[in-house]
Amino acid sequence: MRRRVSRPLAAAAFAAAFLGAACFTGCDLSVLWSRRSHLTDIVSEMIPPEWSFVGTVLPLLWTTVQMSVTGTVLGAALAVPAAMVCAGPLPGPRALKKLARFGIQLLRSFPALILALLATFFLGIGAFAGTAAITVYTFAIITRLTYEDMESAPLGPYTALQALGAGPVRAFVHSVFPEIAHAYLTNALYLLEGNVRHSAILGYVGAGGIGLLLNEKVSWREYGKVGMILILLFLVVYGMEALSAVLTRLVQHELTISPTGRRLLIGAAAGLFAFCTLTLPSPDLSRTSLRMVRVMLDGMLHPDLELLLRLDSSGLAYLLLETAAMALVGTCVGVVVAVPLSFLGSGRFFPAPVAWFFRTVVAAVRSVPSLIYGLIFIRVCGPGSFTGVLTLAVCSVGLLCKRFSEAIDALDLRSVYALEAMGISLPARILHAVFPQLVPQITSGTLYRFDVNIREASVLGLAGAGGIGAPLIFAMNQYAWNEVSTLALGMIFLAWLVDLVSSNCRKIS
Amino acid sequence: MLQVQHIQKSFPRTGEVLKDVSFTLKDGEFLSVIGPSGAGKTTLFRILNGMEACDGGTILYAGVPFESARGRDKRAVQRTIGTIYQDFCLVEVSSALKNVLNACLPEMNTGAALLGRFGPVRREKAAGILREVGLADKLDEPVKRLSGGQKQRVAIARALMRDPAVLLADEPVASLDPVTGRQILELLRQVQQSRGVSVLMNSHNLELSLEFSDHIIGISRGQVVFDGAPGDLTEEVLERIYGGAGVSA
Ligand SMILES: Nc1ncnc2c1ncn2[C@@H]1O[C@H](COP(=O)(O)OP(=O)(O)OP(=O)(O)O)[C@@H](O)[C@H]1O
Ligand SMILES: [Mg+2]
Repeated sequence: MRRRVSRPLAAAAFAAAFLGAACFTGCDLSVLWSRRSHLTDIVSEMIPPEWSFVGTVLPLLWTTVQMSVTGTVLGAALAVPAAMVCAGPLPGPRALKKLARFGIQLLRSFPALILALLATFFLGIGAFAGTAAITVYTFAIITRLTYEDMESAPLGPYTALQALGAGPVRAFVHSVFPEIAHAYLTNALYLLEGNVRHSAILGYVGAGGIGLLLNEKVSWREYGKVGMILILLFLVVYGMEALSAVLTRLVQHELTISPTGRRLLIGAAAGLFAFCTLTLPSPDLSRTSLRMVRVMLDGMLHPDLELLLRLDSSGLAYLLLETAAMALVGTCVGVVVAVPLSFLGSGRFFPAPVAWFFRTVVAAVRSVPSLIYGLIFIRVCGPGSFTGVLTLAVCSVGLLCKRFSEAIDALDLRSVYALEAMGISLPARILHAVFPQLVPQITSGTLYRFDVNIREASVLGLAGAGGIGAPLIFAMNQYAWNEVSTLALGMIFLAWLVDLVSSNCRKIS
Repeated sequence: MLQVQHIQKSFPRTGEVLKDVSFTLKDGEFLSVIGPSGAGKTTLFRILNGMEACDGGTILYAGVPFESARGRDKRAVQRTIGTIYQDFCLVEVSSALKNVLNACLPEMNTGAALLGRFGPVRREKAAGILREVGLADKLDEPVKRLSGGQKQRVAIARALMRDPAVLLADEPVASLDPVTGRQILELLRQVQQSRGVSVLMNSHNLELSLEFSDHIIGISRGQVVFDGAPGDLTEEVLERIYGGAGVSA
């Protein structure tokens, strides 16, 4: 009964929120249309790319890969013990579990870029700081996912091993770990490919990798060189995704290899990790001092209350609202475009060449870091939150399409064949037999994307695309720690709120 | 083998589940506990294998007090008890062999236990027991690909891995079809006879309980209302056990 009443109400509230957010962020498609030539000009200038630039790009690209491999592996490894501390079934003081979960939620509130900027204050400029940031970012996300998996794993075997006299840790390791192992590895691989994209922009804040060069070439309008960087980045991301797809299938036992092959693969992975880690440049600690840490802590403990309470467009409330509005509109537009595109990219409904073409286009869209879209759209629509919305929408399309296509490929098609046998047309079949099956994945993908977009939105501040990111990064660079404290609290609050909203949405959907 | 004296247990919300339960399981005996749903049979089994604390009474395993034991002493007794569950409680993604080997975890040193280095001696023993329960060709099969009856065989093998003196079986056949259920009970009886293990079983299948047991205990509303041989179980006694509490529930 309650659900029937609340559904239309929820839909109306959602529509109102969407329209409100669209007005608030100044979404105006006519601006985009009238200034579309700026966009096409930039794209056409990227072609042909400057091939001679490859030599400069490759070493930096390697650093980017290195940062993401080391960061992902370390973060994922550290997440296992942390998740065990957080997980409910294992014994341990409740207060400690609560505290650990709270800490993870705090870390999860920040995008890798902000963590990287913070890391440069301690570890100096360079790839070491970037790796540390990717490690912490991966750690927070995987810990959260893993302890949730641990809690939803069946507990019968765990209790049974305890009844045999095994201590709780032993029993847990041998009963719950095998059950969650493949979800854990799948998550880690998913983050690995995402981290390549994240690492590619860390250079903006001096944390190593290709980002600095990319920024420089975009600001100098050397689009041929930008094109070259993007092509190479596409190849790396594409390669990473292909590798991760194969490994995911192995992990999920859809592919099998011989024990020797398995050992070779594990050996190769360990070798790659060791090589990436050992060739990282060492941190530059020359500027780190105890005094700096003290000043930072002191500022962080005294948040700027004036900024907190100010109600104009530079106050915390406005910035948070703007960030949330950008993420909301960007995500919704992204979903609306991604759903049809992911059907086009699925070989199950369209001929293989068509599907391959759309998949590659989407993969190309996905391989460009969000900040670059920001920098390009800003040339078209000018600074402001509309640019942020466009950027988030394009990025969401790239990533959502991947998720949705995977869901489509895993669908049970018997009901579709049944309708086909009745002579029903393809669009009608998709609408009535496929779409309903996809609703759970679309909902959860959208909620996940919204969560990520809130964080991404704050990165776009660097490009001048509105939101809380620009003032935060500015304050960090000015060492205005009391302002940083206020803005960070705001981001933590926002992340917590989104978490709350999305867990409730999961419940009613 | 096992002496249970005046066991009491109450839960905060449900109230008193076990009021006063006493009985004795002799060496090598097959004892069935029967009683209506909610009589407290599962609770009794959980107290007997140490997963739940009782509020009063004593439990002696071969003369050693169990209910008051903690930590190392408690685990030492637990190692002589094998438990079999209605829903098997196996690690579904692990192989049958690995599931049986998991029973060795308590006796191993920490490093080997966490890494799962069981060693060839234990492997050979586990394989031998799996052959004994009729799964010679399923050693490396993930448990999720086995049938219900095969899963219960793996669970029995896991319980036997520690050479237990007592097997506790809480509704071992409730998730199985009648034919498979009978095969599992035949296996339990064979184990009981060949290894001299005492079996304490609880089942809703009265016919099978009567056929396989040497000794029957009827529990109703947290109290023992019958204690004797299967032959003594008259209509009138059954009425006392199941009546009032509702047989059909
Ligand atoms: N952990 C618990 N907390 C509160 N009440 C419990 C708990 N475990 C069992 N109970 C209650 O104790 C009573 C007896 O439960 P138990 O599972 O032992 O019955 P049972 O005889 O095994 O029934 P069935 O034949 O249906 O399995 C029930 O009323 C149940 O609700
Ligand atoms: Mg029960």
